[in-house]
Amino acid sequence: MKDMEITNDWIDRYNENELNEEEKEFFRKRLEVNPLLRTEVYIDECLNKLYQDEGTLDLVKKIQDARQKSDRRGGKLGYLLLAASILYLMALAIIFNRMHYDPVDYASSSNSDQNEIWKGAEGKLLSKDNLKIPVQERKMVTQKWQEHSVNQYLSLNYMPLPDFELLVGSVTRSSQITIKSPASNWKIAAGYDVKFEWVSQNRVLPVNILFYNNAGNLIFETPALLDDSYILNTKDWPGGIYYWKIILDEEMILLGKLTLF
Amino acid sequence: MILRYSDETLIDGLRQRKRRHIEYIYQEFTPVVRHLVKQNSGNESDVGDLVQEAIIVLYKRVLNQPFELKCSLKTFFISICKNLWLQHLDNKFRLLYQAEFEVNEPNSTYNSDDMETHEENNEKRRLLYKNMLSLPADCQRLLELYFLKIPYKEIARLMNFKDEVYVKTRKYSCKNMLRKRIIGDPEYQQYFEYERHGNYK
Repeated sequence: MKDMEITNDWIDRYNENELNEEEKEFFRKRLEVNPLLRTEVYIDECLNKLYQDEGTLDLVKKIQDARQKSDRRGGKLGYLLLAASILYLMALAIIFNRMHYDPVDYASSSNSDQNEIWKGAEGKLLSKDNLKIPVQERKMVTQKWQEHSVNQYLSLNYMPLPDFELLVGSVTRSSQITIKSPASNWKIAAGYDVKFEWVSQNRVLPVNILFYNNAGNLIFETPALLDDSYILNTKDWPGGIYYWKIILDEEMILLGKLTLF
Repeated sequence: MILRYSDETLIDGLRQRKRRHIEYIYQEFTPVVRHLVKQNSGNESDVGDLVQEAIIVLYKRVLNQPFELKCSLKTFFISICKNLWLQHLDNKFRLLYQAEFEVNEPNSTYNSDDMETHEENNEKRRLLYKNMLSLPADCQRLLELYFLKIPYKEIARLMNFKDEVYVKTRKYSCKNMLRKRIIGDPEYQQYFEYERHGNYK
């Protein structure tokens, strides 16, 4: 009896009354001093009862299956809701993007005032000979903007144009006109007005302001201005870097930079 | 089209443990139980456990003939759930919830003193079943066959085991694995701790 050792099968055999008298006595003695063994025997007894209740075990399995099915259904519903939410947000983002970043096709605009602006400027300021920095053909402006459709990355709009960067702040004919605002490198939230203000010593000659995008394409040109200021509304302008030139007597006075964020 | 079962059909189906009726009960009755549980400090896991326990309780009730309903099956089922959940809360947060939680079902609907709804037994049973069903498939099958009193030799044949000696050894190791899993279960302390200190006879 001294050489006896309790192995894994003893608990089962004890509960199923398979131990012989000597083993049983030895096991009982161990039970008295070993609470963990006592617990294991108790658990085993409970398990035997549950296993013998075959009907309930079968029922529990079926309930578990129903539970998993229900969870899967709930999970699927969750994924569907998530997918629907993502699609909804994507649709909203596209609508928002179209509303705020869709470039205005100035050249082909049906707006009569806009056409007049172009007409007024046409043939006069878009002369390459009169400008120190060549101006793109107006036809190209529209084409370029169409290429950079709403799907272009926003960061693309913020890439500076090296050719223009070199000239930002350069004043070529300072004796004729002094620019009071904006600063040559002005940053402002898109949608706000930008006030151009200058003091001209020659009030007879009109001032024109030309706006270029960061690809170097002319996107907007003011009519001939005889006042000392001009307010630019950036409402329809997508965020990005723009360059402006102030033209007096068909010659560039100043090149500045405007960043809309 | 949604198929609807009458209470009698459901009771009969549950008595025979028909899968579609069990699924129907689970699907139809769970939303109300979820509301009940979540309104009273429970979570989604508690909902599943409670519905499982309530179905077992209902099953044991309907096995006892004659079973007579005095209200709709759903009302009866919800009253079982309420009583089980009340006991669960009472057990967990005795002082906090005793005065606040009320079971609004008529007393005649369901006798909460029923042995089957005894919280401690239910929780213990749930813990055991949970671990029994977490065993490897071959262990589950072997133990089920064993408790169906199928001879070792036959089990060996059915399960493609070498011989009956292997079946016996495997059975002991499966049972041992199950006991160890139960003892290692985080919920174990809550329901079995006292056994360690109790007197075993």
